Amino acid sequence: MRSGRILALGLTLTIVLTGCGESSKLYPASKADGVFFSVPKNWNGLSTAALNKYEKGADEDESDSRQSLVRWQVAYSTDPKIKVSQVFTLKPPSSPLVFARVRDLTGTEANDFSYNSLRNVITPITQLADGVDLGVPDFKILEDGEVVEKGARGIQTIYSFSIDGVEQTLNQTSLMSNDRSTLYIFVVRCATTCYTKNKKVIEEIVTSYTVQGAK
Amino acid sequence: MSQIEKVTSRPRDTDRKTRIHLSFYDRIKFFLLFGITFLVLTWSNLAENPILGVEDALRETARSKSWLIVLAVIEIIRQIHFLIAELLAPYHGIWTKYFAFVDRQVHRLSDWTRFRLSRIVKWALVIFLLAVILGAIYDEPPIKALFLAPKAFITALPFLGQLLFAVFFVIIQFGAIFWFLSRGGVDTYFPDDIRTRFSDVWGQDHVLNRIRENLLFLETPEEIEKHGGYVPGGILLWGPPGTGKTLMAESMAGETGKPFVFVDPGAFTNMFFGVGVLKVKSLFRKLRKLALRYGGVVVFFDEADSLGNRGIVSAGGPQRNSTMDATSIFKSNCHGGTYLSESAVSAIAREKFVMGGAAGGGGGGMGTLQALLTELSGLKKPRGFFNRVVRRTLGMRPKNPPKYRILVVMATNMPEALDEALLRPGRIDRMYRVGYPSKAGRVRTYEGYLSKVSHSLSAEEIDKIATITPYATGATIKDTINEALIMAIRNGRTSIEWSDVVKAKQQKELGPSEDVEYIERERHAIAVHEACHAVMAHRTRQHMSIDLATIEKGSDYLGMVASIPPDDQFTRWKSEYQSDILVSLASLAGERMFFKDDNSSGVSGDLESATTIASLMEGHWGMGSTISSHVSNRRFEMGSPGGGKGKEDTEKQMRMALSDRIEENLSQLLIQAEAILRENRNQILALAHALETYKTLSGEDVAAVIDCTQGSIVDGRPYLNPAFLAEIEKYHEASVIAHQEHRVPDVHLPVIGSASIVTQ
Repeated sequence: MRSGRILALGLTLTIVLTGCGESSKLYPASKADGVFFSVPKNWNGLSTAALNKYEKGADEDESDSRQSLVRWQVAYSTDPKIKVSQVFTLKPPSSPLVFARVRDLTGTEANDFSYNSLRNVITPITQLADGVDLGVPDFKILEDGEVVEKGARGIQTIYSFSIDGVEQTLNQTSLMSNDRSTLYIFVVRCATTCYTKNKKVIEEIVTSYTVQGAK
Repeated sequence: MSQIEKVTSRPRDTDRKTRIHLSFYDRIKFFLLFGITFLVLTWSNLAENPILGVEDALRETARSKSWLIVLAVIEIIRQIHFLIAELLAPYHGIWTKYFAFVDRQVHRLSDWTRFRLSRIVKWALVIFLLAVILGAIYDEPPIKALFLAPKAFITALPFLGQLLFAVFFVIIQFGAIFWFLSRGGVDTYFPDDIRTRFSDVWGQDHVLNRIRENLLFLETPEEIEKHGGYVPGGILLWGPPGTGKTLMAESMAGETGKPFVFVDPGAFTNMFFGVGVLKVKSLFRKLRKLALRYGGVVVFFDEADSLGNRGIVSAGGPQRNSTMDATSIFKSNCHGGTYLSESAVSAIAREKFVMGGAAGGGGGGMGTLQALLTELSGLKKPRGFFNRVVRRTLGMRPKNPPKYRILVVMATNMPEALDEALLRPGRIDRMYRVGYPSKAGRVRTYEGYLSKVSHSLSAEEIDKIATITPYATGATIKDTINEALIMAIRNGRTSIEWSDVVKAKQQKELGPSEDVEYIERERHAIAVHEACHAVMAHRTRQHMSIDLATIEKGSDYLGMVASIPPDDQFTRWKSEYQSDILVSLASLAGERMFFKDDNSSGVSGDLESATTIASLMEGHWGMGSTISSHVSNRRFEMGSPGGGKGKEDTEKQMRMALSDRIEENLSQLLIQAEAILRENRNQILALAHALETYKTLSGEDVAAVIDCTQGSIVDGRPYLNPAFLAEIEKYHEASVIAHQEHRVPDVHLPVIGSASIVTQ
């Protein structure tokens, strides 16, 4: 009887205490697309709606159609005043910025897409690596390797280059779904100094990135 | 003070100062429910997000499903309240008063309404939790998830079906086998299916009237029910075979406007245990259905003894036999029993064969009878799937069963083989003996069957044949008439005559004669033996008349004198029994008298009958010198009384044991018989002569020979002739000498009207 009371009390306490505490991280996810990652809980996020809205307003012609292919996109940063515009430029951010996007591939894209296309999804890495001068000095590929997830596979590349004299490092993971219909982009970037400083956090975030694929 | 004395009885709720302690389960059951729900939701979170840790999942669940925490807190408060109420009397007192008030308010609703309301609340709670859990699983809003669940169920149906099929495959096989085995043996007739009516049953009017009453109540049950009574539910028809029990049932079927269900006697004899029970159940299901649809139903169990009996351990013989197999006392040459009345025969038979219990369980096998008993007057329980299950599920009180008006009719010729419980009022309310038909009934039956064939019998002759066949039943009468028709056809006629009927009757009663020719001296001895019986019967016995006398050897007799009662009489008298004994002893007295104190073994049966009747007279019927009943004496093991009525020789009487008194009575009657026979010597020899001449004589002819008058076949007048009598006497003397010397007699049987007689 006494042990029973203790047990009942313990159970209650567990529920109550877990109720008081909050999660240690944020878990942004698109369950429909099967994409998950986590960021520290003090990070600030930009919702899909906000990002979509900005994109629609900014671009008119080609990206308009591209924009309609986007299924889900979010951005997170330690900067409490992060703006949408910061997400969509290549200017090096002063604090770590995470950008995740899921979008459909068009039929042509699905046929054309190679690992190189995946590498070039944000920056024309292959051309830069070949030494083509595109006005971005100090281009370096720090790491490059294949990534195989449950629902997709592709390339993870860590590279850096300078714009306006400030070097930034990008940790870019771009995957194509196993049925070659969806593109998953996940980028964590920051000025190289900031990247080095936050390397541990950034690597944790990148490791947490999981693609299970659409249900 | 011992341990047990210290124990006081449990206090009443109203006497308690504190709340009764909750059991451990009652304390934690809601926590368990909430905890399990919480864990399921956490698990769902974990399953949804592969990168989520357990700790974060718990926190996430607690955050998103905070209402669960609220409920848990409420439950904690409640438990704390209980705990205080269990420990502190004043606190509990306040709440008790409050709850008493609330209780009064709540009890304004009826128990059933409160039960229904509480169930609605419980169901709502369960459905709500289910919706939440499903919502978490499907990642949909709870309400939508609730509608998705049936879809998932339908998707899973084929698989479930496969599983169920695997389970039911064997059960269905068994079910099918038992279903098929439990078919049959029960026939249903609807009104107008059967043409037999009460008017077709003859000679049983008293029983028919009672049955008619039962049917009347079945047709208009309100007559009795509105006065608080009930329709008698069961009739037992019992009596000797062939007396028309089944015909009566058939006429009931024809007469009633209700369906009639006929249950085969063999219906409950089964290969497997349990099939009988199934049969009984399906039978009564059918009966109830018919009773409801048609307002009543009649069910008839033919040969109800086949249902068996639980009471008697079956050891030995398979059946008790109420028809009293009396054949073995007739194994004597003289067929000792035939000239006794039926009641005397049955008395002898009863004495001779101890009523061995030994009625095997027989019939239905395990449980069948019990099932029948339960169905006949079992619990008045609610029936039907809708009534029992659906109504109860909806929270409605199951309806009581309606009044099933089922009239159970059973027929048997072995009522003692039926289970006692079957015969109790409420199951079998009325028991009617369907006995041998009355004379009027027999006349009616003869007329009925004769009307179906061509015949030349007058009304007087039909009356006569009905008189001389006192124990005839519908079945035997039908048989006799048919036999008579066969005899007529054999003789080249198509119309039945009186002689055909008489011959058919003799044939039926005696069986075919064996056509054995006795050697002359033995034939004479048998003729004298039978003549002694016949003359004695004719002279002394008024309650029976001779039906026939014969010296033709049958299957189990050498000759016989058969008697019948001239009218239906139900009591027997001392004088009658005495004359019965005289007739029995006539053979011994006669053989000794005519054969010079010699006598044959053929008298053994006669002596047995005489002794039995004398014993019963002395010990049972109060017809001897004592009053006390030997039956009681034997039951109480007191021994027989020694004292007599006579004051003069009381001492002498007292010394006498019962057997001595019986022996003395018999000796006195033997002396009396000798005297009577001596007086009738001529008549005996005349009758012996007639028997030797004609082999078989009808009762009329026997009387004609004794009284020297003209009979129907035999002319008795020649026996008035002293010369002829002398001739017969001479033949007798020669036969006696031949008997003593074991050779052929010198003188042959005299012939009436032969030259030798004329010359002498």
